[in-house]
Amino acid sequence: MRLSVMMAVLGAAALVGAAFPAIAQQPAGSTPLPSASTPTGGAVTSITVPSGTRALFKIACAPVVGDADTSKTITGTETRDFTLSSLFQVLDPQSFTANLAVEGMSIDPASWRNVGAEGVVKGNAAMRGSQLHVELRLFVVSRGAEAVLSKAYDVAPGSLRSAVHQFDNEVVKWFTGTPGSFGTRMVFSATVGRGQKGIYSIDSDGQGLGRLPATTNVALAPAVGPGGSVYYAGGMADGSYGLFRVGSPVPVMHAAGLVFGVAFGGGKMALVVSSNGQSDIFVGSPDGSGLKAVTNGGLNTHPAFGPAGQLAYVSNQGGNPQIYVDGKRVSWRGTYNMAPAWCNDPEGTRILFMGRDGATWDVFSVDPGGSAGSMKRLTQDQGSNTYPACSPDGRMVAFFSTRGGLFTSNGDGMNQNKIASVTGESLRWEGN
Amino acid sequence: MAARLAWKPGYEGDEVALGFALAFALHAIPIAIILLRVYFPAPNVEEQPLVAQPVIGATLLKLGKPIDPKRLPDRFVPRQSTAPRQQVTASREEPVHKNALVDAGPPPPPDAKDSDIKKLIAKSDPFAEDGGKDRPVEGFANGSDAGTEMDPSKVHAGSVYAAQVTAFLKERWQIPTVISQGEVNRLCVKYTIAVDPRMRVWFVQQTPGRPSGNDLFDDSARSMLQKLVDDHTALPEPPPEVETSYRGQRISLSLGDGCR
Repeated sequence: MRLSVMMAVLGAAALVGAAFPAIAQQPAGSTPLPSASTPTGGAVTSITVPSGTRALFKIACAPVVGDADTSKTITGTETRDFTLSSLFQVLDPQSFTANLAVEGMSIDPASWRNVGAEGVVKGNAAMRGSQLHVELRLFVVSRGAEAVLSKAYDVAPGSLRSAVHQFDNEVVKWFTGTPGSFGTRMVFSATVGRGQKGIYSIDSDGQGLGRLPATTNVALAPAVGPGGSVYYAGGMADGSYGLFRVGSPVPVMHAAGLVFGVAFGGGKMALVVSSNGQSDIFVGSPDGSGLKAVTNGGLNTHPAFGPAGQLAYVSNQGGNPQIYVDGKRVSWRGTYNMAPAWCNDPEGTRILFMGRDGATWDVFSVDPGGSAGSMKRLTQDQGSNTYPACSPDGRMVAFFSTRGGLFTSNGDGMNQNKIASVTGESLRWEGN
Repeated sequence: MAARLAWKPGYEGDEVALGFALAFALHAIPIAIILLRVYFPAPNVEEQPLVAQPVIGATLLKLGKPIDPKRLPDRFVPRQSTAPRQQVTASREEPVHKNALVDAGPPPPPDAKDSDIKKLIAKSDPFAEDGGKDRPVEGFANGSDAGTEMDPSKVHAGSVYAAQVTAFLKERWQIPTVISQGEVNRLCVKYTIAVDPRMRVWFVQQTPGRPSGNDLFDDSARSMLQKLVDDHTALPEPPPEVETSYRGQRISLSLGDGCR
């Protein structure tokens, strides 16, 4: 009995075994690696190396030959411009070991390379009559001892900073192909007393803060118009608001309603006119002719023209204030977004705006097309940050912060620098 | 009188019967299945014409929580890694202790075929043939056309070492931010360096073999390589499998994301 059972079991096992296929082992996956190739005959191995890390271009602003105060102004302006640009790292003058007196207006590349400099700015300044003659040169250490950029300016002593800004813009142009925005100005409104607001102007590097003369006690929403004139919405004696130009005692436009904002760009003007509890945006010629409403009811404010004449504004037509471009909503996150400003970023045009996040405001950017996922946050957990503006070259962003002043950063919100201890609203950057 | 031994079976009758029954069953069942298949084959299923069905739209899945439209996005802040650098192991074996493998030898000269023909012609051999007919291709189907190495272990070691050299150079190369990221993604520059037997870089081509079109980009790559020369910095030690390709040799470097 036992033998038969064993045979039966063996026979059945043989049948079962024949019925199932063998299980093949799968080869383990392998990660591809970069390869080196050795071409025949040449015996030269070739390797492909992807791009390295990004680093600020290290530049040295050498003391200028000439008057000590002039030298201090020039190097100080250069240092501030280059630092704010987010393109350069200005080296500490204490680290300079080069013998500047021997070098003169040239450089010894090896000497500057030893202190880590990749670029050097040198110059001299001397009075010629009533004018100050300033000569500035840019050297790139890897390019040798000859200057790659040389400029000379004859300016009044009071306009020295302006000349340096021009040179700094040329430096940026030499490196990037497009000039910088140094020397431009921003305008904004700020509280000057109980129930009173004034218009202010400040240079892009935080210098030259000054109040512009306004006819009215309440001056709001300034904008730079044709010819560099500054326009603003001003309250008049009868309780209405009109459009004023700095320097003009009478309103340049008084619409049938309250004028609460203005924008210029692309050869056009946009005007915010409020009446019967609603505000609409009218677009026409910069002289105020041919104005036609481009919005239809609700609250529509904060117009801003893009580089191709597109109009961005804030509208609550979707239920809460959001950013719109030519009638199309572009901000799809958050419940309260406002104050759009165009930014001609070299990597692509973007729209900056401020968004309310709980009890604070922060600065954001979004593609003009409002593509999904394009919204980026530039500030967070850094107080309340409001009213962004973008430099004409699109490389710098300015905004007010409850951290105590006017700040600038790059387009990603990095390299934040406080440039002035002043806060306000409706910040606009000239030329953008 | 011889005693007659009585035969006594080892199994009982019922056990023998059960054994026969099981053996019969084991053989009869497969035979029955085969016969059934032969005499009653499975009916041929006619191919049905394809019927167009409506396509159901599908969306790509993305991991993560659904986006709350009321909530604003967070700020992206790049942070510098504090982790130690990972070193790529080029070879599991100590280079000095590993027995040298049989080398494939130097690559054949590029005109080897012509030389053979010339030799044949010189010998006036009337039977010399031009090897023009198709012959089996040597090497691996996924290998490089210019590759000469036939040993997979060497090829693998070479790839790992190339990755090590790539990481070594990449972490030392700093590209100035005055060049926009968009432009960096498009640029590629080629330089040739030479290393001594101790793997120290002693020569860097002063003008690029193929410039990228952006002088600053080219300068940043050359400055990185020149610093290796100035500081007498050695490249990582190559594994023995490929050291003849690197030690004391020239190396052509294609630098930049635009090279890929």
